[in-house]
Amino acid sequence: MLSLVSQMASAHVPVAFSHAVAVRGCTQEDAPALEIYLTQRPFDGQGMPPKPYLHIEVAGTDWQPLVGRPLKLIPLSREGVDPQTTIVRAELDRGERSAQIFLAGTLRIKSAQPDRPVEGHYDFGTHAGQRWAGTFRAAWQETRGSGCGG
Amino acid sequence: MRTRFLLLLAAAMFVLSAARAASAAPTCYINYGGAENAKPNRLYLYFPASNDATYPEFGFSGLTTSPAHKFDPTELTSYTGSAADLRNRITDVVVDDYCEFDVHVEQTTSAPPATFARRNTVAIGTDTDPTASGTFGLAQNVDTGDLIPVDFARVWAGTYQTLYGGSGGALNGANSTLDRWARSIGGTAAHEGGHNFGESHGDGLILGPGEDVLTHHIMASGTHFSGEDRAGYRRHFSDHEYSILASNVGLAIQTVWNWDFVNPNAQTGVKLRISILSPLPSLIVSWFYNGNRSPWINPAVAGPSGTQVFKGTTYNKYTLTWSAGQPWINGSPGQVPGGTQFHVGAGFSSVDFNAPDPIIITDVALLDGSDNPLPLHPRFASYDAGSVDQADGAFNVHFFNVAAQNLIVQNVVVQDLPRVLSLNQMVVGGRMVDPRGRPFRPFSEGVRRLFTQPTYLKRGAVLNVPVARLNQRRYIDEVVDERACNSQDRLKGADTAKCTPGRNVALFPSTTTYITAQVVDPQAKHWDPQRKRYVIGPLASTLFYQIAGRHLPGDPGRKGRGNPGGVQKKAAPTPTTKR
Repeated sequence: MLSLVSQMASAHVPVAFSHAVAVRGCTQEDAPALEIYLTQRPFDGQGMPPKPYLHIEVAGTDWQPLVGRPLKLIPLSREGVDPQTTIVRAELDRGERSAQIFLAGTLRIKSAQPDRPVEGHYDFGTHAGQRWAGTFRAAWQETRGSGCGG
Repeated sequence: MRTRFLLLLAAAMFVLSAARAASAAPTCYINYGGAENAKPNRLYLYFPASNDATYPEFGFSGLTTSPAHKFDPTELTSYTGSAADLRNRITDVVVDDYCEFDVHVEQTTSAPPATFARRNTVAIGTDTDPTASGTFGLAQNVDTGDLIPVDFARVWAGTYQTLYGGSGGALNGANSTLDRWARSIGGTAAHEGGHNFGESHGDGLILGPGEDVLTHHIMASGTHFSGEDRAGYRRHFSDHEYSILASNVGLAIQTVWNWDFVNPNAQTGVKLRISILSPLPSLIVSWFYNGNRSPWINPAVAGPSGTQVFKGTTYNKYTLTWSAGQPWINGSPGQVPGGTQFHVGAGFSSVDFNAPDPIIITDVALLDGSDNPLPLHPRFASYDAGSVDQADGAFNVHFFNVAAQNLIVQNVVVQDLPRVLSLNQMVVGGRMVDPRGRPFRPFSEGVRRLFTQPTYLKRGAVLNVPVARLNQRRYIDEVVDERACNSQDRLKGADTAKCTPGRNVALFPSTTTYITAQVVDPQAKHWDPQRKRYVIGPLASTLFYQIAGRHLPGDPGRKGRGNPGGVQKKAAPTPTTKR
């Protein structure tokens, strides 16, 4: 697989997510999506990613129209979000107990086609001042399970 | 009142048994009686009789949710049963998943009414998702904290036919059974409903020590589940999912208590009557112990029969009577020989779901065949559902001695649990399993031993049992969503005044709290069956007490949803110190 390099500029704990994988997945509401996992250790896209990790979801099945556009992250809740907005989210799972948080920021996709590496740039953060920014090249993996909607 | 209750109970049991006869898998094991319909949250399973163009459109990425396609299982070409059977069995699955929660699950073939303020509608059609992407369902929102009172979701049952109905599929041929279809579609309906109640896919990824595998649970993203995972197993909420849901919608079981008593008389007791006080205008026993340590089942409530002031508060008086015999280990059905230990237990629900109401025991009496009390009474202490001592921030359950004797309380163990413990396992040596037999563990750091030395509880005195502290860390307290933190640029210049993070907070002190305690009369006259005479000496009873958690003032999502914090609702009784 892989990948370059997410470099985090955090005032707190520096973390580099140097591995990346892309899979066909789901949004939080269960619409089909592109999912990208940025991890510190290798992950093949099956089961649970090693923590901590960044998880990105981009709704849809054809992501070509989104290439090159700055995609602003929306919150976990769609309440109050313009229905025309492309659903793009990123969450951080810190690996601590019960710790996941949806982030603010921007994703820019350079290329995204099934069966090919997905490339792009991200700039994410929290209001607490933590920030993660970098580029990624995510190997495409097939998922074990079936479609969206548990 | 009692006759009416028994008739209602009999009718409910008949309906329940009839339903079970048509269903290989059990549905909710708790009979909430009149409280079921009063649950504050509705989860409608909407199986449209025909395409419903009025159903809300909330789809995106090519998915459209309106019209809600009809539920017509002839479109599920590998399914061979009837539509009614499939509707009913799907409903069974979802009712079972939400059994312990303050959620009334109801199936309908017409558009649900807008009557109820908090309602969550899952429309289940037999069509395939419009993008042909293999999507089984879509929720309107992941409603962290369940702040949105009215939500909708959609299930495309036809996707199951498309993906798994073909040759060799998980729903084809011999695999195409009613139960497997119901588990598949019902699991998706429970999942989408869960999103609207505030559960995220991330909640489905958190497993406790020793917990069963993720694919047995409900809320992980669909890509984690194979066709066999969906069809072959009745999935359930994980400990973490359960705790989030209990916090967002509430638990319907409020207090559950069991007792190990000893018949101190030489005579055989044939009934047990417990006198209790409750603030409620009616009392619902929704659950009772039916294991083989008890000579009886089916306790009956009578009352209210007047009022009584206790510690400055006026309560309604009830009696709870066990008389229906069952085979048990220490005697004949319905009979407790002299000097013999026996066990009883009951769970209570009410229509006030904000905080557990106290069920205060004032007397325990064994009766003879003529309904006359035997002269000696099993020993007990009374207790409430807990309140905060504002002076020191301790959350205390109060034990009261209303008996004629001084008592000793000892060996108190408090356990913070992530899910409801089976009432039948609230016994000495009981297993830590939920009502369906699934093992679980208390939260780590959630077991405390108190009063390991005998502590006297004199006549009329109160003992504070500190089960938690207001400032202790919640078992789940996570900001998951920086919602509304500046819609223009959530990284720069956020308007923090408008920043209301989506936050999950577990109930306080935990989803349920389980307390066991020994109550001893050190100088009791009681029958010694070995010596065959009365003796004076220690006579012990053991309490097994489970209380639902509650919200504290300031917890997210409580505004406009009734009493925001049960801990404030009840004043601490006085005096609050030992004497």
